[in-house]
Amino acid sequence: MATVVFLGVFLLSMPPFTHVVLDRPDTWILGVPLFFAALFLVYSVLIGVLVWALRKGV
Amino acid sequence: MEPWVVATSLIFIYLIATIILGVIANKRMTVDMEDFFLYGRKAGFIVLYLTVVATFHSAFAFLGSGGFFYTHGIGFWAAGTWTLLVGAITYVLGPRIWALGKAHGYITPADMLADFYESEAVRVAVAIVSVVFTILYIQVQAQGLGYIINVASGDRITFELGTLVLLVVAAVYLMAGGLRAVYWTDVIQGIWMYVAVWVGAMYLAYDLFGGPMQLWAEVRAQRPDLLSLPGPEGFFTPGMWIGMTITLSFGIIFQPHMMMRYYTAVDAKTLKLLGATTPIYLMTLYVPAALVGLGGAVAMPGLDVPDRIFPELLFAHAPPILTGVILAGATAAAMSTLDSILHANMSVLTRDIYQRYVAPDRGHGHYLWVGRGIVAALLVVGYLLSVRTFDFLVVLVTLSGSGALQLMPAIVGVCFPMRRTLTRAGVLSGLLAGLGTLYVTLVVTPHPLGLHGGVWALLLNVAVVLVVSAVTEGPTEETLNRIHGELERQIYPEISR
Repeated sequence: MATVVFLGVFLLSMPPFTHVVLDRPDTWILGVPLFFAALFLVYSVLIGVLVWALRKGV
Repeated sequence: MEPWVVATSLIFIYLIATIILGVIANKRMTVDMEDFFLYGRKAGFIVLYLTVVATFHSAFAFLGSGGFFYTHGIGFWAAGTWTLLVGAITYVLGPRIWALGKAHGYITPADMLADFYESEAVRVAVAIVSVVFTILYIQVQAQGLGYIINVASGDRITFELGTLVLLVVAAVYLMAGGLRAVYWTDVIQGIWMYVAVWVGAMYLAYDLFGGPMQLWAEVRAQRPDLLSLPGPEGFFTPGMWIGMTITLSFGIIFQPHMMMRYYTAVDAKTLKLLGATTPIYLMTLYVPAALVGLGGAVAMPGLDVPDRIFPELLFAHAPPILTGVILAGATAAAMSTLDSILHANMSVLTRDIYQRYVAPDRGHGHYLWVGRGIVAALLVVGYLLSVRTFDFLVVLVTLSGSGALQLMPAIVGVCFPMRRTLTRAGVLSGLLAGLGTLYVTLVVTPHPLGLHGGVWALLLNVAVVLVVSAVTEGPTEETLNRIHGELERQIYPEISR
């Protein structure tokens, strides 16, 4: 389960998602480009998945 | 006091501190190869965490990443992907490598691969790949050190002299205290570099722009070309993004200085905790690098050497003491990787070549002294490589990672029992095919069809490994039971019961 979730979320940090969906230089969130903010969120979720796997003892 | 005096003095104080740590480590050392090469296999979480992150992040993180944001824009935020993969790989692979190393007394990656594939040819091939491709990495770190001390001294200490001094210091504390000295200095270096890069970036953001948000707004107003893919020079194509993700995660992990860290852990749980938490440090270090690189492109455009953007900005805008502290942090970043590579190459050459083929039955003390001699020789080679070429830092790192990446099929074959076992002929053929392809796809026709050359080489490597393994003889049942059986006992205890 943790592996599937990790890989699923990881795909959001890969092309084509990055180059087609996230590459919007005119869209900003809280003063930061969407691209930067969205990837930071994705990376944070991935860390969360690893910690979750650790706590579950996977 | 002039800024260059403060900056250079702080760097030299830091260097003296590392030598003192090396001497103290020497006092604690026993004449034992596992103690000298592997910290006695008893590294706990905090020491292991800081040595892994400090070793992974190098001159490249301090200088190359800022330079890359400066030149190619926001696409370098792809760096987060490979830092996350490093954590995941450590989580999955680390406990397996640790278990095998502890059970069978492995010291180097070649120990494990030669034992499983029952082949001295595999041992030699892995040792050669390990050394050849990480020597390139010595060059990267040594050049980074040369840049830092050259900039810190305001060109008063030449690049060549700076490189030599810092190489010698790293070699001295390594020869004195072995991996214990490397780990202890890495603890300081890991903390120092993280604090330094964040403090430096935030100081510059507030001093030059009024804060990080204002910095982003200025980049949007003045350099919008840096905020979209594939960047001003078209670098971050989908193929390069995927390629850098793979080569700078798997490719770095499979280098001997990273893989050997798995052997040194006190237990498997420590490695899982390490895997889950290292991306926090590794990924967040690229946030200040983005501020430095993108802000630098606005504040100081047109630099001949973009890798110098961070120290150049500090010298132009930060107080001397802060500049000195931060540049000492940059020195720490480069030295923490350099000492680990020197140590790994020393271990590989001593264990896999000298002890195996030159003088097999000597005492531990003899091998420790041979190892120290090898460090001295590597220092000379690293220095000569460093002062003769001046390529862009990150490209060299990528080349290094691509070479070690070709060990991936062989390592996966050992660590993950599969229905059809890989064979010695398979992994050797695949390695040869991968390295040959690497030359074509990185040197002759770089990155065909926009896909990173290292990935092309890996794809061909895997195909050759699978085909040749299907028609050749694999390891004996006894070896499979001994090695894969150990994995089942450690990783899948419920199956082995």
